[in-house]
Amino acid sequence: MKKVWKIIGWTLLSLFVVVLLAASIAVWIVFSPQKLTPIVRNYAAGYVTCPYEIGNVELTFFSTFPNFGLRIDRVLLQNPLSAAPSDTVAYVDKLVAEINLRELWKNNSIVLNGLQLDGLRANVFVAADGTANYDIFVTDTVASEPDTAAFSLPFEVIELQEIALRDIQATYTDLSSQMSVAVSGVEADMELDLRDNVAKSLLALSVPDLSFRMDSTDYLQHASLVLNVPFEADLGDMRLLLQKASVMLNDYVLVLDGSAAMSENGDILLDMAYSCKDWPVEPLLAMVPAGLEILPEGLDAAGMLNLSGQVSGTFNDSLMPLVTADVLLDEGRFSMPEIPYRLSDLQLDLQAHVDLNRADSAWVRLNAVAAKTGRSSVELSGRVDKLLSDNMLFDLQCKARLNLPELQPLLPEDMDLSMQGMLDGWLTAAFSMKQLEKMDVGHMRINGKFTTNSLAVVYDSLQVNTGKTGLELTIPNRKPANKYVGFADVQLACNGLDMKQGAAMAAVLQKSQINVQLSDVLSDRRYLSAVCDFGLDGLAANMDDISAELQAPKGHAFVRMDMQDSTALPVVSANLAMTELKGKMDTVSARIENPSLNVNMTGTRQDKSQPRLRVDYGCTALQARMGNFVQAETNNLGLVANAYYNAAGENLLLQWNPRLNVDLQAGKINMAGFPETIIIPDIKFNFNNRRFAIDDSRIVLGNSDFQLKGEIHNIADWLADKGLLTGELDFVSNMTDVNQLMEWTSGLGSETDSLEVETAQAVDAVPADDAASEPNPYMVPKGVDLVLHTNIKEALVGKQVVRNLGGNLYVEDGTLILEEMGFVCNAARLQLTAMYKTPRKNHLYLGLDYHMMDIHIEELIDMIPEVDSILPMLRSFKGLAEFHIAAETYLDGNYNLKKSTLRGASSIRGYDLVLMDGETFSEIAKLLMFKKKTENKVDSISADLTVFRNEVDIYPFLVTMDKYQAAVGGRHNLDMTFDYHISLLRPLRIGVDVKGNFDDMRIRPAKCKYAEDFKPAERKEVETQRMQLRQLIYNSLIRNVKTE
Amino acid sequence: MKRFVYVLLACVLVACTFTSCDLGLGGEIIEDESLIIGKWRSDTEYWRYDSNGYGATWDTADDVTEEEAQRFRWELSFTDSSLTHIHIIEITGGESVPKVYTLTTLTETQLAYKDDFGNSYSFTKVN
Repeated sequence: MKKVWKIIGWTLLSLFVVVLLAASIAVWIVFSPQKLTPIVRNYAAGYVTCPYEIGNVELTFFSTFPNFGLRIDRVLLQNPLSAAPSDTVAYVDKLVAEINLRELWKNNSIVLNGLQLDGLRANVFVAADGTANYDIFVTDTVASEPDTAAFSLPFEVIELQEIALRDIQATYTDLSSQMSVAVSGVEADMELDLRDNVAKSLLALSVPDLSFRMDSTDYLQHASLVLNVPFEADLGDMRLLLQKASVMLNDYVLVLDGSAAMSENGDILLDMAYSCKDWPVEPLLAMVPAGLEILPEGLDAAGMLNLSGQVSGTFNDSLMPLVTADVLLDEGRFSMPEIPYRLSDLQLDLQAHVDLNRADSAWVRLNAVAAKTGRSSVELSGRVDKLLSDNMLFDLQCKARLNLPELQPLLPEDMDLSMQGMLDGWLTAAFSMKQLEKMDVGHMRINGKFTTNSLAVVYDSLQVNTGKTGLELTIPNRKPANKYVGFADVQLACNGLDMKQGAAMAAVLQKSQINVQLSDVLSDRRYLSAVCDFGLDGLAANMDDISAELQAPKGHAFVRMDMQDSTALPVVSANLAMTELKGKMDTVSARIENPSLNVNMTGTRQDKSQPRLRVDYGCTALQARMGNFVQAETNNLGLVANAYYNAAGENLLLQWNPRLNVDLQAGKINMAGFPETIIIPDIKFNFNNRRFAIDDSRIVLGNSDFQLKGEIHNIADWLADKGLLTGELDFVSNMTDVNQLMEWTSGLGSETDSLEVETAQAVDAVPADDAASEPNPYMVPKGVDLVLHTNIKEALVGKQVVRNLGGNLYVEDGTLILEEMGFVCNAARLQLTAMYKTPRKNHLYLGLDYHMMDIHIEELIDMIPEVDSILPMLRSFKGLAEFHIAAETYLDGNYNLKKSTLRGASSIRGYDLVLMDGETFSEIAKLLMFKKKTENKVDSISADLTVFRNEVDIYPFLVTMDKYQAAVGGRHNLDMTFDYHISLLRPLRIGVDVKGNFDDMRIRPAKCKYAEDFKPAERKEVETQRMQLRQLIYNSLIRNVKTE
Repeated sequence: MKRFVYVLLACVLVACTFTSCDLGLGGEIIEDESLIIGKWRSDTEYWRYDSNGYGATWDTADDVTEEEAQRFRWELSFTDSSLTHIHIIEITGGESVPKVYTLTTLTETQLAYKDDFGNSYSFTKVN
C-alpha cells in the first residue's frame, strides 16, 4: 500500500514539475517581453489614433506566484494641439497588476491582488473651440442598439486589493471654460470587494499639491487634499454607504457618514451626517481667493469652527433634503475697518434646521453668540424660524454690558459728548423679516431693561451725573394709558441726578421715576402720541440768579401731534402737582404749598393752528416776596383759565378770548411804605369776553373792609368798539375809615412824578414847566355803562362817623355819576349826587347835588370848608340846619376852575340857632343896641343863595333874635368883597349896608330895603319876585331829595 | 325955617330930576322882543338868546365853544324893563340860578343891562 501511495506521489510530483516547466517555458519563451511588447503595441494601434509609445510589456508569474501579473513600462500618449501646455497627453512610468487566476478559474471571481500605477504624468487640454487632446481613441462608428438589459456583473466576485497610485502629476486645462486644475505628488490606495452587487471599498487619496483656477481667480493654490473614504455601494439598489469618510483640504477635515441611494425613478435618497472639527477660521478666510472680493477689505476674523449636521431626505427636481447643522465657534475675534470695534472672545453656538421643501419649517437656534470688546460684552441667543421664507421670524435675547466710553465711536464726530460708566442690560425682541424691512416696530415684541450704577455725561458745557439708573422698555405697551399709546412703554428710574452747565446753571434731581408711553414713532402714521407720568422725590435747580426747589413733584402729560399737518398744534393734556415749590429770582421769592396745575391745549375746531387752552391751577398756600417792597401770602388759591386764539382779534384779549375762574382765600399783602397789611379774605370771580362776574371779593385794609360783587357784560363788543360795556356791581363795606385811607394815599405818586419829571429833564432836556404843564386829567372811559351800588354801614370821615352810606355810582359813556349817595352822619342825613364828565381833556365837567338834613352848622363847615368862603356869616351861627347845594363848573386839563362856567345854588334852613359872639357881631349888635347876652338865640333862619361865575347872591332872609327881627341879603364875590344889606324890622325899622371886605369893612346906616319882603300884605312886585325866585331855587334844590 | 324947607325941597327936586336924567342915559330900548334873539358878544363872552325862551352862554377865554355852552332860560319884560336869566344846573336838571337885571339898551345891535349892585353889562350883536 505504501508503495502505491509512493507511486501516486511521484506521479503527481512529476506532473506538477512538467506543468511548471511548461509554464516557465511559456513565460520565458512565448510571453517574453521581447515577444509580448510588439504584440501589445500592434494591438494598441487599433485603439489609439495619436502617436504613442509602449516601452515594455511583461507578464510575471513566478515573482507574483500564485498570482498572475502584468507590468507595462513607459507608456506615452502624445497629441500636440496648439496652445496646449504639452504635446504629452499621458505618460505612465510603470503599471503593475496582479490577478488571482485560481479564483478567476475556479470561482469566476476577479481578485486583483495588486494594481500599482507609478509616475503618471497627464496633461489634459481642451482648446477654446472645444477640441480636446484626450480625444485620441478610435470611435465605434457602427450603430448599436441600446442595452436595455439589467446590469449584472460578469463575475461572481471582483476583489481589488492594494490598488495604489504613486507619484501622480496631472494638469487639466480647459480654455473654453477658463478653468485649470493641477495636481502633483498624488498618492492613492484603494481596496474594493464587489460581490453580489455589493461593493465594499476603502479609498485613501493624498494630493499634496492641488491648484484650481477658474477665469482669472485662483481658488486653490498648492493646497493639500487628503481623502479617506471607506464606503459600501449596493449596485443593485444603487445605494452608497459612507462610513466616516473624511475629506481634508489643507488642514480642514470634513467627515461624512451615511448613505445615499438612487431610486428607480431617479430620486436620490440621502441620509448623511457631516462634521467639521476645529477649523481655524483665519486661514480658512485666507483661502478665499482675493479676486472674488466677497470678503470686506481689512476683515480680520479668527476662531475655531466646529460644524456638524445631517443631510437627510429625497433630492430630485422638486425635492430637497433636510439639512441640520450644529455650529460652534470658539476663541473667535472679529474686526473690520467699517466697524469701530475689535470683537474678541467671540463665541457662536447655533443649530440650524433647514428643510428646503418646507421653507416655513426651517429654523436656526442661537444657543449663544457672545463677543467682547474692550470692557464691553454682548451675548445673544434666540431662534429664527421660517428661515428660508421671505418672512423670517426672529425671537432673540440679548444681554449686554457696555462700557459707555466705548460707545464714543458711534457718536457723530462733531458731537462734543463724552460718557463714563457701565451699562448692564438685556433686550428681547420678536419680530418678522417683513416687520424689520418696514421698520414696523409697532408689531414687534421688544422688551429690555438697562441699568447703570453711575453715569457721567459731558456734552459741551453740560455735565450730568446720575446714581443708579434703570431703563425698561416694552414694545408693544401691555398696559397702555389710552388707545393711542400702545406702541411702547418706557420706564426710567433714577436714584439721583446732578446736572451742571458752566457756573450759570445747576440742577439736582432726587429719586425719580418716569414713565413714557408712545404711539408708533417710527411709522408714517398721521398722529404721534405720548403719555408721560413722572414722580420725583425732589428737584432743585438754579440758573443765574433764578432758583427753584420742588418737593415731591409728580405729573402726567399726554401729547398728540399731527405729523401731516405741520401747522396743527398738538393736543396737550398735562397736570403737575407737588407738595411744595420754592422759587427765587433776584429779590423776588415765592413759596407755594401743594401747587397743582392742569393744562389742556389743542387747536380750535375751525383752525387747528390756533390754540385752545385750559389751565387749572390751585394751591393751599402761597407766600411771595419782592424784596422789601411787597410781601404777599394766601391760603387756598384756585384758578381755571380757558382761552382760544383768534388771530382776527383786534387786541390781545380778543385774540385769546380768555375765560377765567379765580378763587383766592385768606390773602395778605404787605407793601413797603404802606403801614397796614392788606387782608383779602376771599376773592372769587369769573371772567370772559362777554361777562366778568365777581361772585365775591373782600378786602380788609386797616380799619376798613370792602366787598365787591356783581357782573360786567359785553366786554368783547366794547373792546371792538361795537357796543357799550355794561355792568352792575355791589360795593359793600361795614366800615370805611376815610381818614386812614386819605392818610395812606396822601401824596402817593407825587415823589414819583417829580422823579419822572427830573428824569425827563435829564434825558430829553425838556423844560420842566413844559413837561409838568402837559395836562393829563382822568378821562372817564367812553362806551361804558357801569353801575356801582354802594352800601357802607359806617364811614369815619374826620371826626364824623357816617352811617348807612348808600347810593349808586354810574360810569356812563364818558360820564361818572355818583347818584343820590345817602348817608347818616352824627344824626344828620346826607345825600350826595356828583357828576364828572370828560368830553375833552381841557374841558372837564364837575357837578354836585348835596343835601344835608339835620346837620350842625359848625360840622357843615368842618365837612365843607368851602361853604365858609361862600357864606361867611354861617360861621356866626350854631345849631341844626338843613342844607342843600347844587353846583357845577367846568375845569381845564389841570383841574383849574373855569370861572365863567361856575353855577350854583344853595339853600339853608336853620332852627333854634345860636348866634355866636364875635367882633363883627359885637359891632353890629352895638350899632343895633342888642342886649348883651351870653347866648343869642335865633329862632330860625332861611337863606337861599345862588352862584353865578364869581357872584354869590344871598337872597334876603329873616333872622329873629332877641327882641329883634332882621332881614339880611346882598352879594358876596369870590374875591372876598361883599355888599350886604341888613334891615332891622323890629322893634324899629332901620337898615345898614355892610360893604367892602373883611379887612376893610364899611358899615353904614341905610334905608330899610327888606321891610316888605317878609310881610306878604305889604309886598310889591319886586319883593314878590324875590320871594318867587327864592322858592324857585329851593324847589329846584330839594326836588332830588329822597324822603325816608 | 320955611326957607330951609323950600331949599330942602328944591334940593330933593333937583336930585330927583338928575336921577331921572341918569336913568335916561342908559340908552334906547326898542320894545321888540325879537331883537334880543340872536348871538351877543362882549369881548370873549357870548350870549345866545333863542326864540324858544332858552339860551346859552360861553366864554372863549375859558376855552369853551358854542357847542359846549351852558343853558339858561330868559324872560324879557318891557313893563319893568327887566331881563331875567335863570341858569340851569345840569346835575339837578332844575332852573336853579336866577339872575335879574334891569334892561338899559336893546336895539338891533346893542344890548345892555345892569344889576342891583351897580354892575353894568353891554353887548354887541354878532349876527
